[in-house]
Amino acid sequence: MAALPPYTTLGQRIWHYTFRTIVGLVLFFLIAPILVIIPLSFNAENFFTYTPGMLALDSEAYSLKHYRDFFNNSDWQQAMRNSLMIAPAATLISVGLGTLAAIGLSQSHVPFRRAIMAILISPMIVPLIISAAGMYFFYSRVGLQGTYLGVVLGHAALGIPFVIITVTATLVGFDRSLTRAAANMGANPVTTFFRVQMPLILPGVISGGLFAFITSFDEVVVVLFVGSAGQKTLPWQMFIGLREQISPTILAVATILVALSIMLLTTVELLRRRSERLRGISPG
Amino acid sequence: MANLKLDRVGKTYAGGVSAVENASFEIADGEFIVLVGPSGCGKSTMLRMIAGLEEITDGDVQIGDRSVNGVEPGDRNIAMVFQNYALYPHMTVRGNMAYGLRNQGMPKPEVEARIAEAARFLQLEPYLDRKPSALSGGQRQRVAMGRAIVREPSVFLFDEPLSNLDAKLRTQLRAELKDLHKRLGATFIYVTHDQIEAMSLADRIVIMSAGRIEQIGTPMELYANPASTFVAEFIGAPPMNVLPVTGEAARAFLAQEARVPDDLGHVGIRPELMSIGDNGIPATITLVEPLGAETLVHLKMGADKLIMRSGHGLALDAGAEIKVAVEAGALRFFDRDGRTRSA
Repeated sequence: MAALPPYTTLGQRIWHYTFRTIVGLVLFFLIAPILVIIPLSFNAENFFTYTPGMLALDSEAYSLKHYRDFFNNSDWQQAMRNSLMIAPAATLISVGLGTLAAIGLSQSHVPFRRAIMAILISPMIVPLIISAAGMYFFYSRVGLQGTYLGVVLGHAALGIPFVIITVTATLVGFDRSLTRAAANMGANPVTTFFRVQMPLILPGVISGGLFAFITSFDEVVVVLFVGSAGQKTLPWQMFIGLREQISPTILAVATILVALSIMLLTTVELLRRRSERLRGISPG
Repeated sequence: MANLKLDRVGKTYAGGVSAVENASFEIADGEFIVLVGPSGCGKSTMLRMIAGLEEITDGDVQIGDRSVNGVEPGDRNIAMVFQNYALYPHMTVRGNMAYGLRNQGMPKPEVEARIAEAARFLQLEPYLDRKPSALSGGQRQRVAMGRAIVREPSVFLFDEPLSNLDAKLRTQLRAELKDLHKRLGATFIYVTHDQIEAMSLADRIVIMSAGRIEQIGTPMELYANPASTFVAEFIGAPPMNVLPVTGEAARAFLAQEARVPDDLGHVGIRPELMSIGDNGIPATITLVEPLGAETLVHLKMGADKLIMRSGHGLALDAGAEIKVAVEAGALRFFDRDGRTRSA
């Protein structure tokens, strides 16, 4: 910690340390609930509390039994398989449609751009329970309720706004003369898209995709409405686990999901840095 | 083969805004044409219409006696160099230069041969495997030109290619461009807002203002005989002094002229066609700008202000009273709309 310069007044000193304390408290408030569950997931007992043995750092008090339960229990494995099927499928749809929508909406000649954008973003703003209930009624009519396709489409609708927002942000910095140059050099629009535009906006597309993936992977409300027992996902199983069994296996799953999220966010950050490096093109 | 003809070309945007109106001119094969004008005069729009990147709403563009209105940009045998170079940041210099050729489906050995030749030509050989972000401004500019050269087009289009460079590099690349034009023998169309670039590069200049062509001619034609007060004030630094005919200065100049056209609006005179004499029009020096080889002298004649160009070593200061002599035939006459009138 850097020493304060000699001319600081008492008031400035007090504020300096108060400010650091507030920041520390905010970070603690955000992180603590997540950190607390990680040691608990290694609990040797079937409780949600820290046992005296754990606090004494006794190796006997720790075990991997909840992780073993997660990997051996057919309910959890089925939920895991469902999540791993639904989330990637929903992500693919979100990324494909969201990227195309963002590119289309960034063209100045498209009419009603703002209105279309607002409609596409709305699943992010409308309370989830309303979207979910709406989807339930709509999907029941068209026969999608209780199918994988229904859940995937529902999650895709939730993920599209993230893709649109991140890709639109990337496109703001996109130099239109690059596509003009490509046209001048005889590339058709499809070639231009895949060879010129896509590589440059890829970081935005991927981070949008990661958000869409996490949205689907964490989502419980829509899947409760639109899915049936056959489409039970991890969050749904955790929800049941909390409500009916209070099994510490949830903690093991939560830890696994936290680790997964950290890995994904690290990927996003690395991609952002790569994109900034590429942006270093500005002439002069 | 690569002569170009624009016939009453116009561009009106969807909102009804007209960017270019009724532009007609012809460009001979191998000519270096510069489109010049202030920002927003339609010169870049014109260039993009020739390139096919912008739709033409009126008239006809012909390249080599073939109308290209409906022809794809890539099929016009035109290469364009963009103001910000438009290099692909994710490709190496080699990849950038190969891009257009690969789109044409050219076999790899030929692509490599052309890149090698262009790289030697532009002294880019050491940089072929670098990304554009690792190059200096001048080098990026050369890569952009290399990307155009490898395609061996019949027409090169340049959209303010030097405007992002510093003054010294600009002067150097200007000379290189002129040299490049000589060596390639292709038709060059070059857009700039810098009249010095236009004067030094062009075989002929097309000067535009507010979507219209003001005048077409060789640099010296435009300089000596501007078609309007706009051209007179745009070409030359410092520009031609354009004085309202009602002012004291204009009356004093006209009093010395034998034949004066009627219905005058303005009188013009180039700064270097005036000098300090023993007798002439009385004036007061308001500011002296010594520039080394020459000195710019700001004058006041009654209520009118003008600039005179003088040699170095002027021993006068602001406030001095002088007499201004005018060379014979130096005056240019303009009507009330700013159009040229001949005596």
